[in-house]
Amino acid sequence: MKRRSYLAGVAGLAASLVLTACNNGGTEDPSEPLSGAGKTLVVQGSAYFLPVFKEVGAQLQQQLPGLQIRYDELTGEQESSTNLQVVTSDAAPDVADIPTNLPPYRTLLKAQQLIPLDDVWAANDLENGYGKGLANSLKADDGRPYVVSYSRTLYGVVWYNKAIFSKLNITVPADHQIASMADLLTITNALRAGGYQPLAAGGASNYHLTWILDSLLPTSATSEQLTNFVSNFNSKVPVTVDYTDPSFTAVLDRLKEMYDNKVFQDGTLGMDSPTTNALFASGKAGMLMGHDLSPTGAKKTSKTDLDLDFLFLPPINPGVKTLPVNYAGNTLAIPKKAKNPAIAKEFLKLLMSKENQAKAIKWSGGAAPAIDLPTSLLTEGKPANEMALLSYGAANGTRDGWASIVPAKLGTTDPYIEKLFTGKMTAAEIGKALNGIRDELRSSS
Amino acid sequence: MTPHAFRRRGTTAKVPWPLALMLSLPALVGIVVVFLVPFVGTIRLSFTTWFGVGEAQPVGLRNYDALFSDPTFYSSIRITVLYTLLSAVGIVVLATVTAMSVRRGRLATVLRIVWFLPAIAPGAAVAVFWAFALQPVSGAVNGLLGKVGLGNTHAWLASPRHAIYVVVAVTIWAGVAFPFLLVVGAIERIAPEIYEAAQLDGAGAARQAYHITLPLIRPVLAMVTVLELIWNFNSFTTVWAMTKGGPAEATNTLPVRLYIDAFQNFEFGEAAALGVLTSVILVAIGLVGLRFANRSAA
Repeated sequence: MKRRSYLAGVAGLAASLVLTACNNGGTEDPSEPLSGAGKTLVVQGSAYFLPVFKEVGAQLQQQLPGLQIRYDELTGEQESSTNLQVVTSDAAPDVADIPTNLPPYRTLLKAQQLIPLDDVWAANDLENGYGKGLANSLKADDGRPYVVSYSRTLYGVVWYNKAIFSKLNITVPADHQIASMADLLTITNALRAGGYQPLAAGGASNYHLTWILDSLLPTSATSEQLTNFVSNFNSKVPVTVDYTDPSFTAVLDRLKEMYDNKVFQDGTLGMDSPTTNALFASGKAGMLMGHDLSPTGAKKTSKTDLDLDFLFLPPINPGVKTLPVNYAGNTLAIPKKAKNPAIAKEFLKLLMSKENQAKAIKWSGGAAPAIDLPTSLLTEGKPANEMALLSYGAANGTRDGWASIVPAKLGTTDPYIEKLFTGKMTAAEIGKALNGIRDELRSSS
Repeated sequence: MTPHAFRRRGTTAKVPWPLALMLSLPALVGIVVVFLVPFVGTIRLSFTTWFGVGEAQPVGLRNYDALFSDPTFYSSIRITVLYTLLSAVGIVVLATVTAMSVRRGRLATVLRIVWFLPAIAPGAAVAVFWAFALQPVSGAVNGLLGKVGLGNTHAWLASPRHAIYVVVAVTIWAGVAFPFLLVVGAIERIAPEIYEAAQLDGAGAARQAYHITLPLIRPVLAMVTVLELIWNFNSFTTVWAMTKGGPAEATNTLPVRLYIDAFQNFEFGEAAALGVLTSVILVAIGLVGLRFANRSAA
């Protein structure tokens, strides 16, 4: 009897602990109207986009008086690694930074740890705003969206320092296009002869080299091949092109040619992204492999005014334009363990409104909106060179980035490209290795 | 003597076993909680597939099979052994030499502080600082070399052949302070009369160091060497902050590989298998080291 009452006591204590834990996990009462009083919304974001989130957060605080908002800045490394544990913990943020091309996203989907966002999408008609292709790529296998893409990053862009080019009398290629490998070598040789490092790329960043691959692949593969490359990791899609196909290996061969011809800065394989950006911002390199927000970052680091413009690397197949590569994986989600999911949804609705998407260009320093916007909303105050890139993309089109769509295990090719550069692997061997990873993904999908 | 009592070695004091158990309980609980439970958990995890959330799926020996059939696993072992040996030997040798150099003289106290300074800086900060300082063109080291006409474009961290040695050098620089203190302490315990007698017999500084100091501090050196071997085999911070295992996996040590498997690929099962194998190697190093240390002390 004594033992039974002891067990009952333990069970009661355990039950009350569980109930307390549940109560702490959800502070919102769905039956009551939304209120900000006494609540703290936790929003994660990268340094580039926190200014945007803070502006949107301020609007939300006006709507919900008393609401406190805490902004947690994540590094790229946290986004791709330990954030999985944070998002699934009892201290989960309300709005989580979950890029769709990084491993945590698919792991969270598999474990059903994200809240569906159909209502957020419907509130701003994101289905049409994103366009069919992007909208479909942002949905999970069950056809429902669990993320919102809040900004498209245009990457695979070569930013050049206009003052250095001018000082060395380097002819700026027409229409931002470096027409051939010979033209690229003329530029890089002139920069080296003038005492500058040529194209700064973070060979140790784990993604800069893949950016170049993403930028050149659409100039080598046909659109059918590209469509298959970005989707054939899924077992439902038949494989019509392999990574050993010349359309893929030609890009790797080009990368090797660039490395062998010293197109990159000295020591590229030992430099990560901050070191590379610092080299360019300090005026020691003439060009930088970057994205639409690189000038903002460089200007923050630089002691002097940087006057920058953009170029694109020479295409693999002559006559084809190299275009900005579209990354739509800047995505936010609401974890199942979020304490204020309803307020988090309001935050996302505000963030994705057409007005705020337009203003975000200025708040972020030039990031492209995630949705198509009427030109009437694209108003004054945008940084000139970043807007020029956005306008170039709008006029000439953008390409989908292979690595920004396929799972990270397949798309993280920098370690292979490092081996290619150092002679440890050939393009064909890399193609074979990627075929293996693709088949592994197909068998588990 | 009752069988239910412990006798302290070399004494006649008896400790009743309930008291002995009670006194050891905090330590036992600590060992179980922070060591035994995670270790058993890791062994269990190594026989499963687990992506960080959700249920782990049992897969038998598949993770071990995957490791043993992966050629990069063996190159990781080679790199780890090279890094461990060079770092441990470098640290012990430098700590001993510097400790001997501050045994006496006017600058002894100042030198002790100088040699201990690297230990004050956090490991990650040290590694990031050196990674920046060693960059070509923009790095401080290359800047200095450029100023004396030796060129400023040395890209050591970008070279698969040289990167590991640069990381070893930084590891030694950052790690020498603690062993230095231990060796200084051991040297100070040697009776000055021994050196005085040696001096009277005409022994110079080098002979004193070789024939007096080294033999008498051997037990401390043995212990420090074993510790350095274990610590450097497990070292992650310096390698990761400087090279992330690159270039072209040239510095991909076992701890770096484990981190990538677990926290970048979310293959916790495979990472656990790697952790178990690493533990086996470390236990072997520890046992050999202990035996060596006991022989030195005898």
